[in-house]
Amino acid sequence: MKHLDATLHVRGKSVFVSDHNLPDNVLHGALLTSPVPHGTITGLDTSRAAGMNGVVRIITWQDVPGENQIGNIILDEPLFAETEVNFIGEPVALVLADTPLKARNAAGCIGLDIIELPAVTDPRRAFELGMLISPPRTFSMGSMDDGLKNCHHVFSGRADSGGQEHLYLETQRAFAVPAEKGCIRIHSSTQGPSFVQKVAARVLNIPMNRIEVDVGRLGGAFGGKEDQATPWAVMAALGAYLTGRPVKVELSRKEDMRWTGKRHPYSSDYRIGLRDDGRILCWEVTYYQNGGAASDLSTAILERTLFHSTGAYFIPNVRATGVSCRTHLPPNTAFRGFGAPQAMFVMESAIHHASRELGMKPWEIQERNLLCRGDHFPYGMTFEGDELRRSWNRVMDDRKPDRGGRNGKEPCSGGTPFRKGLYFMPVCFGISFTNTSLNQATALVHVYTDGSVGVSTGAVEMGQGVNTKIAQVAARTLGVDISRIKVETTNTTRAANTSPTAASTGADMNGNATRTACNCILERLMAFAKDYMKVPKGSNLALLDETVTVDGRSTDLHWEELVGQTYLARVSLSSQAHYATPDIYFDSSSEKGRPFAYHVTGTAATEVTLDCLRGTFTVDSVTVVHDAGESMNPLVDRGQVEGALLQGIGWVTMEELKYTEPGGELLSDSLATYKVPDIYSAPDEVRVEFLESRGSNAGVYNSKAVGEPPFMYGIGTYFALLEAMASFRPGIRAGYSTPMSNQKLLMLLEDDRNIP
Amino acid sequence: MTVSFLLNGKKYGTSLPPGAVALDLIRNETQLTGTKEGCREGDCGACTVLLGTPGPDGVRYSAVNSCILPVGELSGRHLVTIEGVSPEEGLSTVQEPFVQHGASQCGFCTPGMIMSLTGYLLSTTEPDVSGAVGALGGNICRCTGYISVKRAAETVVNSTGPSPARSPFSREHLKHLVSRNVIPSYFLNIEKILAQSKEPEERDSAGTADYIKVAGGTDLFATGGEELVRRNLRFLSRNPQLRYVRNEGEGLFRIGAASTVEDLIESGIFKGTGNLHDSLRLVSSVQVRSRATVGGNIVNASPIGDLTIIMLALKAVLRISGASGHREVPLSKFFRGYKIIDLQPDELLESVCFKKSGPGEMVNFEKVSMRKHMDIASVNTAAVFRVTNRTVEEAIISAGGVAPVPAILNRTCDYLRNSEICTGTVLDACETAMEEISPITDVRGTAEYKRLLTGRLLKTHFLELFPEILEPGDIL
Repeated sequence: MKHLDATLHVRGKSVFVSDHNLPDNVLHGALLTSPVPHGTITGLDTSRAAGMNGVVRIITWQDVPGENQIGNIILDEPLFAETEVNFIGEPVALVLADTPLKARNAAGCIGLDIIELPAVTDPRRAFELGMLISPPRTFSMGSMDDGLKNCHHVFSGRADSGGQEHLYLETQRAFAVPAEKGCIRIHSSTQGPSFVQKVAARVLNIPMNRIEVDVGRLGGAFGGKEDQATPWAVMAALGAYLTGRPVKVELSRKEDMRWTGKRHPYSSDYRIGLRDDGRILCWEVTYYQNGGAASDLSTAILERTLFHSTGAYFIPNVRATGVSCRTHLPPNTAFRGFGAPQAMFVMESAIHHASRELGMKPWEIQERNLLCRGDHFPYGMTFEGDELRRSWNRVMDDRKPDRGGRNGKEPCSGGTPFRKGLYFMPVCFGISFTNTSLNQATALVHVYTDGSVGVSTGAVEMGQGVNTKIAQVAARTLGVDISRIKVETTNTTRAANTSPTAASTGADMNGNATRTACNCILERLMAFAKDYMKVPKGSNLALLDETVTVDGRSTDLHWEELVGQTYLARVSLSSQAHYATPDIYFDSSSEKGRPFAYHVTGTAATEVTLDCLRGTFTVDSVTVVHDAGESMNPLVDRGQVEGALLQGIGWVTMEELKYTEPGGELLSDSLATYKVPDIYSAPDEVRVEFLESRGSNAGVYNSKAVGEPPFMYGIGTYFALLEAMASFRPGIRAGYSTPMSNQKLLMLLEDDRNIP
Repeated sequence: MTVSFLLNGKKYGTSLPPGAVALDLIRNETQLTGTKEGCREGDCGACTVLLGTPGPDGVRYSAVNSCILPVGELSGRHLVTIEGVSPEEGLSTVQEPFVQHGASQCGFCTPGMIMSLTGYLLSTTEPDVSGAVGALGGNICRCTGYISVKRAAETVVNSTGPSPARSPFSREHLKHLVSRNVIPSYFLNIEKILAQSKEPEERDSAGTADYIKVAGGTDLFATGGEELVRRNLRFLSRNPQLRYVRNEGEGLFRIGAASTVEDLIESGIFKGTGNLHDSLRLVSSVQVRSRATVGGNIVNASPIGDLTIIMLALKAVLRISGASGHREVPLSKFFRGYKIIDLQPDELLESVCFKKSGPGEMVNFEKVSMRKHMDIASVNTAAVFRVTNRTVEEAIISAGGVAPVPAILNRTCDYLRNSEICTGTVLDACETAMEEISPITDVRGTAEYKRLLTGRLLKTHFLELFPEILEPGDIL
């Protein structure tokens, strides 16, 4: 089954936010933002800009009718700065003019006086200064003290992981159109239409039912449009509300890169205790999360870090502490993996560290500690299933030297400067929003009298194929051809109070809601058909290939006739359904519970070739064995695995955020200076195999979520590079700090004291 | 003043200023919204379109970034957007495999990829997979990881097959592509229509008013944006006196300053000269190489221009014309300081002349950047050695990113003259080079890294050119 939007995409016919025809009286917004990371505003003079040609209105915090507040979990983020600024790019004023250029020029003519204050950009420094977003949290299990007594070896160290720019190809944007009765209709490139609606209502001080948010599709998001699509949409709504004209706000690439948050950089301390045989008994870790200037989703992201502190391993004694630190960077935010990649990087660093000290292979330690059915996580949940172990074994059988795998030879040793490195990366990722209340979804299904079907859900299509899967669910449940199904735009008037499309749950939850709604209609249709066809009581009716069957035998009652007759009999052909993920709970006072509906697991083997002369590398091959359950759509799921993998490789290698020091001004603020993987960066060979699996009841039709977990396969590339370096310079102590840029590679190869 | 051209199948005139960019014309004026804006500086390829230029051998099509393509350049040409390659019904041979292989997820980069691949098929009679993948080197996708894109590209190549035509610019080739459903049949009429509609005369406003000379404009329009809309521009790219690659005999070659990087690749001028021919593909992306010129690379005076570094090592001489006639300047004397060049405002760089390499000469180019392709170097360097009996008679080594100007490593070259090639010489030469350069810390690397990298790339020159004499293990 193909991605249903793809035929539009390849013709350039898909409509994104900026592809809508705008009314002639549309106003374009441009922003004045803070040029400094921290300061007190002492003067704001908009008079000159307001008088410029084409300028219609300039909006500051004083023009906000309701609350000047866009915070989500913690209300700590103003829409427009009032008396202080806390990061470069913090919005101060919005200029509305009749062309984008006039708006931009006028924004540059606003007088802004700021007394600059000291800025903190390092999370550990922020921690020392007591600049915290929330109090530290600790997840623990067993007893570190008892465990340490049984350890033969204890190693401690530090691991740092860098941030990551989302680089969705479509930058942040929205437009808002005033409607009658004081209503505003917003077209936003957002993963969270209901959140945009809620915040717009809060800022405008009007009821939520006056705000309609419509989302057609997103040109990529990856978490970057979960919370951070909101300010621009709310600004457009505010502009439309205040001027009575349509307003569009669209960030340029540079603005988007400079002003919006990224994946959280983490700096972490770890202590790992093992027995001689490589069994890990103790794991102690403290994460210092660089939250940026406002909380955004940082606390939820840190929570997921704590959930995944032990990665794909069982460790009996654990103490994991997370600190969300407030710094003067743009608020960092959700990004595929949501804190889990940072946790897994620390875990793998410690294992790599131990393997080096003990003279073992990293995989020997990994294999000895891999999660088994019945093992407990520090948060109280029990690990189920054998898919992780089976994926591990499959990959090892394929790649491990002494099991006859393909990596038996080392063609690059000896006289050449090329070295190979191989690393296995097992992944275990929990599926559900860690905030239990978000695990709900709705669907509204209409069957029209001609037999065509419209489905509205809370899911947002951003390329991940969720609408394709929802159409598949509707077609399969109703027993009709998929060509009859249209998945509508995501709209708050059809799907209310929805959770953002995030946490890999979009297809699971919205698919299950769709299935329930379709089943409800199907039951009515079958009940009607029983009467209509006068079949004996006790017969079993079903719809198969658009035809009613009775006790498994085909009849000549076709879908279209059935639907038409059911309508004439005055039976509803519409249904709305709600889905709440069952059996999940979490008690944050004890930090125990069952926060996840299930886990997604898999293993990747990554092979790299390092050029020790130039300090460059290629990823030769990645073999992935992944559990997608009974995949709804293997083509779409494969695309998710491959795409996430390369994003993960980018995160640990070439994607490097560079800032001025001190000051925290982003230097890598364009595609010329922030490099994401291109087609040449993709591994020469990527093999993705889906494990035979029973799947999960919480997934739709026994499928499993796929969006985020494969990102973490990319982490293997970092350690494969360390392995290649070690084969060139035995004993090299490279430290653990992403990204492994070409610069870092060469500097380390030259002298491993070059890097902290 | 109207700029007239063919937009897809129809004549089109715009009154936008010549310095506006084609992307804005396409999206805002014609409302063909299939072309997307991703970065507005030629670094993502989402806005890729085809630009067809009529010539004596037919219409030549190149994939270019419309975000850095000035409207003035459209005059008399054929501009093709995604709407212009889509069949009325169904999908083209390029489009269909992207659907089949799941090579389009969010879809924002997809139209650009379709245009790049279509452009590739228009530029070759013998498509192959590596060429097709290379044609997508300028298209950034954040969703797919490119694996499915490569599968799609392979299918596209196989479905298109080799063309019976002799030249990719010929009508026969277009017919082949029409028959394979790669392009719509209106392409067959384009040459005729372009010939009928007379191209407006080049307005040579030289000497009249304040104007900016635009060659490829790939750097100018990536950074200059809104100001260029108001300025007078003089476009150089279609002046045949500035665009040629000529063998002048006795090993001497002359390149017109407005020749593009793709022109150099197509001419094959550097085939057999060390690794230079292949290295040209390390210069940005095909979209940029189709526009970026040799002269532009030189007068832009970036300390890190790839072509400049190559030309420096080849001891290129520049021919410059001005009010008082012509003069010649060695490239090595052209750069006076950071972005300061020996060129008066009323002068024009006309051509670049150099000897490819003489007997006994060996050439190598090295470049390391944050990302191997479509990136500006952290350090790049070219080396030309003349060696007899293991002894260096002459060495010219240039390096970029190590000084305010593209530099010749003079002290290193002096040291190498009359030295025997051996491990000791290499190590000493590297030391000399690392001492004589003065890199600065910037977004492409720290000064310390660039110094180290320069030494490493020097070692690489030696190892690449003298593998039978040197052992990597000894040198590293």
